[in-house]
Amino acid sequence: MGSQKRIAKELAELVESPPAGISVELVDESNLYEWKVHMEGPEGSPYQGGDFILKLSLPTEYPFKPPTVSFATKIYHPNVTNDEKGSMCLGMLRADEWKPSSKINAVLQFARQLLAEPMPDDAIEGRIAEQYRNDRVRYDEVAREWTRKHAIPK
Amino acid sequence: MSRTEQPDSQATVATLFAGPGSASNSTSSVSENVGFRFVLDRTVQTLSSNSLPDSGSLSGLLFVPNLSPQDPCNSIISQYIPSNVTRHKDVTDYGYPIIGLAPWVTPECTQSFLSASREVNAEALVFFQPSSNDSGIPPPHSDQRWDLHDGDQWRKQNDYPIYAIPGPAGVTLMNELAWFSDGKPNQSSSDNDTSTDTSRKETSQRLFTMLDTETSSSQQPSLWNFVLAILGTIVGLSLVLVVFYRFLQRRRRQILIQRIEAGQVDVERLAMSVLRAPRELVDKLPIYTYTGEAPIVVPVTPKEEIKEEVQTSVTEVNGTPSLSNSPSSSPSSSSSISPPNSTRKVTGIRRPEPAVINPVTNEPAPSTNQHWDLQTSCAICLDEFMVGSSQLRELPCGHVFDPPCIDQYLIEQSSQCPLCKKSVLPVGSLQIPVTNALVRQEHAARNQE
Repeated sequence: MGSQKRIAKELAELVESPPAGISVELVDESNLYEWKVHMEGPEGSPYQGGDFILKLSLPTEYPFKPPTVSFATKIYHPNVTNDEKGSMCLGMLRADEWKPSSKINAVLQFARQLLAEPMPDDAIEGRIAEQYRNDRVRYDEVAREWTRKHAIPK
Repeated sequence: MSRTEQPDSQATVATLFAGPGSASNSTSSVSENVGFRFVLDRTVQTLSSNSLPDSGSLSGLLFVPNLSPQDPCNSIISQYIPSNVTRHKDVTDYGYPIIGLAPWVTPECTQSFLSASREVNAEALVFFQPSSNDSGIPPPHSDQRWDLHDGDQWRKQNDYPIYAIPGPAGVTLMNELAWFSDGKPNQSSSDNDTSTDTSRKETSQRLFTMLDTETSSSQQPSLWNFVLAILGTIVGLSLVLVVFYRFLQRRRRQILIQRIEAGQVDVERLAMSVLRAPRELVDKLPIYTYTGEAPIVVPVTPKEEIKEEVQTSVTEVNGTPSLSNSPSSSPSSSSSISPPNSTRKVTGIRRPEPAVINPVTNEPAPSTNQHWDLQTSCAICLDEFMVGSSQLRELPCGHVFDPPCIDQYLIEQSSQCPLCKKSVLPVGSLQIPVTNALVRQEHAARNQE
């Protein structure tokens, strides 16, 4: 299967030279399609200092079909669903936007960039997006609080 | 019923029968100076409407049909018919249609009157039941009283309309018919006629009958005709509209097809579905051998030119000729010669183009795109292209991929380039059926713009 070869290649690259603040590993060594991603909250963001765990699932049709990314750690963010699923809304991961030439590396960097700069216009949590736009101070407070509660190991 | 005097000195007496639905007292064709008027309003029953004129009204001189002298009915009916009653011979000379009047006594006698009226071509025949004292409308034609025990053949056999009037009215008319005949006038005249006695003696007078059959039975069809006419109009209009609309839709589809073929419409966006490329089309996309630098990548065919070109490029790249037969997967490139398999790292930085674009053959370069020297690996499997051995499929946008990867992608996933999303489908290729829905979408899309 061509997808395994490519995934293995991408995994090797990411392990060898991970992008800033990101580290990846397989959930299960025998399964290339389920990844566990550690993401540090970007500096200057209310998520700073947090260690967020993301789940990255690759379809067997990868790279023809996009991967899905979700937050296992709870996070207060306009673009992440505020539930157990923690689904992430990434434009580039939509089926009609996805290009096989996109790499997981880019996906993860894009996700981390989203932590630094939320995109309220593409929000999945409208209430948080509104707060982000209109009451940034309060938003920062809550996000920082959630980060401390859920993402910083005690 | 009325007596009237006609200008030609022949006085005519009119009888007016009005069928149910219209009183005809004021019917204009009966002059006001008639001496006797007898109106039956809504009490005339239609027994048969054969050969009824379309106008629905009949008129003519009233007479009593003669039965053949041998007919046994003569004795039965004699008590209902005065001897000097108006007979057929009394009414034939005036050029008017004639209408029979006869008593309905026994089936046999009725048959005799029917056939007698048939013989003299009566315009219509009016029956009355002399024994009945009921002055209301006689029972409808389906009543068993009108049964002649012949399975209703009599209605079909007689090609003229047949009516029934109340018994008392029939008796009255019968008496009047005795008055207005050429026979000896009955001296016991009705008391309202004394003033016209003189004229009656001087001129011949007849009962003139008008039957206006705007009855309920004729209103029904007219109502139905009206409804049918409306329905027909609606159906007809609908059909015309449907045909017109079909034509319009077809025309719009044709216009859209023309616009698609002219490349003015983004079919993929319009259809909101991912189009896939047909295998035949993918197979036709060119395959090149990767040589590490854009201009050196040469088409696999034709072979002679390849050799010359490769040699040129070989001299260009420091000449460490290590000619080897490339293990090509493509059968058409079996003998392609690889350029020096140098250890030179392909950097992906655009280099100045060596002046080797087919200097020998004077042919245009195989590829004029700017992606060549930027792509060092297949974006789908991420495998590095091997200089000299990798076969690359080039899309119209200029991006190159491993043929197995890109072929599968184009055929199974999308016809768009994985890198730039430009479609490999030729401009104007119709990959989807042009439907009316598509026409509407296209229209809406244009309105939005």
